[in-house]
Amino acid sequence: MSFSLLELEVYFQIAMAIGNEAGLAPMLRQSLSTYLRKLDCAIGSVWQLDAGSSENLRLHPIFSIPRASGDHSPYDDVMAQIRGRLKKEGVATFQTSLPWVTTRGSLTVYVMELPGFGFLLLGKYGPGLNQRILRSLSPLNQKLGQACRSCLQTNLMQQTNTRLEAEIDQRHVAEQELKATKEQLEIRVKERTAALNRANEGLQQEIQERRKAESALRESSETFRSIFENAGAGLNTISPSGKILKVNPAFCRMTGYSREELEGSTVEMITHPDSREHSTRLYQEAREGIRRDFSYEKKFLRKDGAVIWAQVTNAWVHDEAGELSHAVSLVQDVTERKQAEAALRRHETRLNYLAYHDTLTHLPNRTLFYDRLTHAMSTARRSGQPVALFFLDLDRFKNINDSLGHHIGDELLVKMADRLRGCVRDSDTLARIGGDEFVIILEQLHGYKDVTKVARQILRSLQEPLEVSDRELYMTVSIGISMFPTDADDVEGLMKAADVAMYRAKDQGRNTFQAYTPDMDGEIQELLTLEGDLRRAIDQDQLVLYYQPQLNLEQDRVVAMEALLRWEHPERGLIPPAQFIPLAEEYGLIVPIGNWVLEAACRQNMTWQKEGHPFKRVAVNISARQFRQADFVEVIERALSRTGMPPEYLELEITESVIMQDVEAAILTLTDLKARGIRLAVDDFGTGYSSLSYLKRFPIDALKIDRTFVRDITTDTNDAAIVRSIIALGKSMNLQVIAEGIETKDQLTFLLKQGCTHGQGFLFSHPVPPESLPDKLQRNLSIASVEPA
Amino acid sequence: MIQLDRTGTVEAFQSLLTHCSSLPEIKGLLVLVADGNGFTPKQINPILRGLEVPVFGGIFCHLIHGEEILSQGTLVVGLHEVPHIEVIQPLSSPSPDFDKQLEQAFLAKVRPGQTMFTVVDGFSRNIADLIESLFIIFGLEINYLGGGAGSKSLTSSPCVLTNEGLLQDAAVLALLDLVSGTGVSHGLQEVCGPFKITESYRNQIISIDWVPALEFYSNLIQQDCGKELTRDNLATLGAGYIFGLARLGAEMIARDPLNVTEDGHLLCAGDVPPGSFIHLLKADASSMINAASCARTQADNAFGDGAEDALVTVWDCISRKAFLQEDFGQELASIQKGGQTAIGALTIGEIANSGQDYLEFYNNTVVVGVTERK
Repeated sequence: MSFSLLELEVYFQIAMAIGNEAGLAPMLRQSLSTYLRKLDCAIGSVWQLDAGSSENLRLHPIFSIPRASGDHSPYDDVMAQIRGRLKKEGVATFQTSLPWVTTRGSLTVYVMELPGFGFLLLGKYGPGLNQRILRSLSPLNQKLGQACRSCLQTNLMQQTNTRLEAEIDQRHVAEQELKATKEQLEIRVKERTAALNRANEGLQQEIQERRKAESALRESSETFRSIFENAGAGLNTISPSGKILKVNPAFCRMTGYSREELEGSTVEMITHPDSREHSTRLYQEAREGIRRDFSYEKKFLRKDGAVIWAQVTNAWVHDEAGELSHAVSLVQDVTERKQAEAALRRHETRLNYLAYHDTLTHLPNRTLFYDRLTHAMSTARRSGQPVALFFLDLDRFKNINDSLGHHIGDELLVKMADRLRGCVRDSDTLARIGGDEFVIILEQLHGYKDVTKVARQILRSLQEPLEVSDRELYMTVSIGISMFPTDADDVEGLMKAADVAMYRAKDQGRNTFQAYTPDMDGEIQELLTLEGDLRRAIDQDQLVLYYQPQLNLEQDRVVAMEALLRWEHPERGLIPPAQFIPLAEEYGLIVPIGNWVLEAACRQNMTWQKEGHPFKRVAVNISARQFRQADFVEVIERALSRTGMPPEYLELEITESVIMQDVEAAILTLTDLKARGIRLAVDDFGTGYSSLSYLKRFPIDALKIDRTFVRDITTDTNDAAIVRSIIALGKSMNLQVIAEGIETKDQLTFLLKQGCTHGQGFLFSHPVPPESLPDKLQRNLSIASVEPA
Repeated sequence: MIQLDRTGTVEAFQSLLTHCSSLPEIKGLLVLVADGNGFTPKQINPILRGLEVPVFGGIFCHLIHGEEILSQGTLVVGLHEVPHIEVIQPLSSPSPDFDKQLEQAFLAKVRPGQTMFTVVDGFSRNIADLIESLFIIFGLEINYLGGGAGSKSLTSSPCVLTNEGLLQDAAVLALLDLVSGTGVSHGLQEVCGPFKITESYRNQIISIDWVPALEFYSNLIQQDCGKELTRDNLATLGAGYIFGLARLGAEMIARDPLNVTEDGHLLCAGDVPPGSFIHLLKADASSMINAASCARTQADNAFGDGAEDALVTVWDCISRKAFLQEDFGQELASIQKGGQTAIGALTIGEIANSGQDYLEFYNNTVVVGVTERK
């Protein structure tokens, strides 16, 4: 028998894999998987033979690959064959170096003996194993059988040892328990005997004392009668069945009934329905000997229908035979005290509510929220279920407060709270923790999908307007989400993470939600730094104005300069407006910055006028916030008067989206400005949604075509069509049309051909500081002579 | 349904996934993303987490679309069957117990004739343990298709795509109630062997026949072609010489020496156990291209009738492209048949059972899967 190198290799590797583990299952896992891998077999199984006698042969499956076919059905008929053969030939005769081969469909099954243990079955699809390999497996199978036996012996020894140790332990424990139980029983018998003796002595003593007291009471009956009649507190005697025997005048005053009416009637008659059940039970218990003397508070019903509260103390008197005779009842009116207590409780409840709730929205406040969050986190630590925290901030809420007033803002918060309540489960916590900030705690989550589902539900619910004082306001929110325990393991950390994520949601354009990721920390830090820098920038004159010329394209001359804001950061260099203007808007800095721009531009224009430049106008961009300020027109007037610039030299550029936010108010402001002689231009025209009917009502002088349309006019037919329409619209409404962002001569040629009269862009000049404005631009500019910038 | 975006932008990715997941007949998504898109978890995790349908897939060196190789873009396969998905993370723990997790996740659901798509982070350790557990638990009752995701820069990064987001050092397994046929082949030719792996640790070969691994490998190459292998030309000269682990009656399992450690250990894609024997295999363009065609035929035959209407996926090793270069297009062409557009990815290691043979983590191999569409 000569092997190929490959066969030797396979043989060697299987041999190396057998018996490397002490446990039977891990050993077979490694050995069997090597058999399969190296022989390219699909299934394998090891069976143990329990050969009690040839009549009673049993085969147990020990380990199979794959494990998913757990019922071992692929092997059942093969095993039946083995049993048959063993019964026929006798266990002792089953000795062969060659396996049995059988087939099941396209699977060839090899049954090989593991001497002294059982059988190995291997199943292979495709070409079968050759005789040489099959013969060579015999010593390997011998090794595997031996390894199985060793593992079993080790297992058996371990199991026997473990069982013996367990039995010894159990017996020891049982002995200890028996001993302890016996000791406890002895102690309990002693304790019980002592207690009975004590009780007996006490009882004897009590009987004697009671007898003495009863005797004394009988002796002093006269004295008692006198006290009874003259006492200030209500006194009466009552039979064990609850019949009123005697009453004193104070009790009559208290109840409003006469002595005649009361004596002979029942306690039930004067007892308020609320107290009847309690009162009846006490008399019942007294009769049954369960309870003797008692004191309790109850409600009486006066004859006039009024309710009084009283403290009732009953002392039972026995007759000489020891039977219950009657009760002497002391009744004190405590109505005033009860009323005071009720008022105090109401006050406490109110104070408690105020301490933990927001008075405007009636939602939990910051204190209660922190308490609930702490509780949710400790519950989650035990249950292992995550907690989600939503941090919601209303988008542009400040604008509502500024423009419509705080009362509208407050009403809006109430409506918003109602809307949010509808988006969460009763078990979730929705709280308002300040201003326009809401938070939500979601517990008992089944996955991240639950979280996004709620976030989406909130955003979707706000697609419908909120009705506030007969207005319909569309509000959006930015939601930051953090998860416990993934993002933080304490309350502060979780809040910070949700806050950071909320800022990211704002940054992404608002009306969205954003889950926290650790890399956000750095970015927020960066933004906070930039915010601080921006506040300083105003004081330290880091904000500067650059100017870009606007040309009359037909007359080849500069007609105006557009003022453009730049930030010269001492460390970061020139920061573009797109980066800091949104920050300035967010932190309320846009109005002071805008006012500064206005005045600085007017002052620069006056300098140019004094120098004798031919253009007259300066154009200034106005932000939404500035435009909506109540004193906007006065601010403009103030800038003009301070700098001495005639109003017709000023052009205000306002975007169409700003105007369209509140059209009627905008028309009033624009008309006011127009009446003062100020020129008005609609900026970024075409990017918003202004309707033609409104446009006709705006007292404006010019339309500015947005640079995004101009950029592709020579390549994009849609953009070209839009630009053509805007120019035609301008002409039909007698408005000047100014094209922004002209960068190439082709764009210029197109615009001139379409009849666009004015323009600006890099083709003529980049925005530059006033001192760098080239001489030729300051004095005159010819389109033909421009060098592309 | 197969959808392709060639731009590779986050916006297109979002729009494609949102569109596909919104269709009522779509119950799950297989998503293949090109490494060239440069997607980060920050960009696409919110999109993945927001999806209402189960999603699985990965970021791969390149994508395959018909005969085209795309370095940018996204391929989405809309599935009409709900995939049962299990994410395994981390893969590289020191003593993993994958058996238990696999049994808990799938034992109640697995039935003969199903298909399990398997995408692993190609740079994780313990991939071989995971594959062995899959075989031990489920055997060949089901078919496996997939491969190693990861960047072509051969550095580890988040690359396994799930509803939880983009994961690193993870595997995503998706069991589908769909019939499939698989074909696996490499076409590499044996040069010499066997040699014994005398020292190794997982995917690092330390010595062969007690000679330092790099020196041994270099000597073998020099004997065959006369050229000297250095650290610098490992990617070019080494691309043509691959190790093979022998099996009886089947193609050897390729192990690609991808890199060299500072100590001169050879780093392979996939484990090389100590005590195993290796052979030196040599790449040859025509036999490799022929092997790809064979893999397709094997897959078609295993699938049986109706293969022409099925979904054809290709999991082709990045090393084959590195060796074949401009001829790689011919390899893809040899897989195409009729009007079907095969789709897939260039992988760092491939996962499949070759027909009804042992399940393996292959290298330098082309795996073709033909899966019913329903």
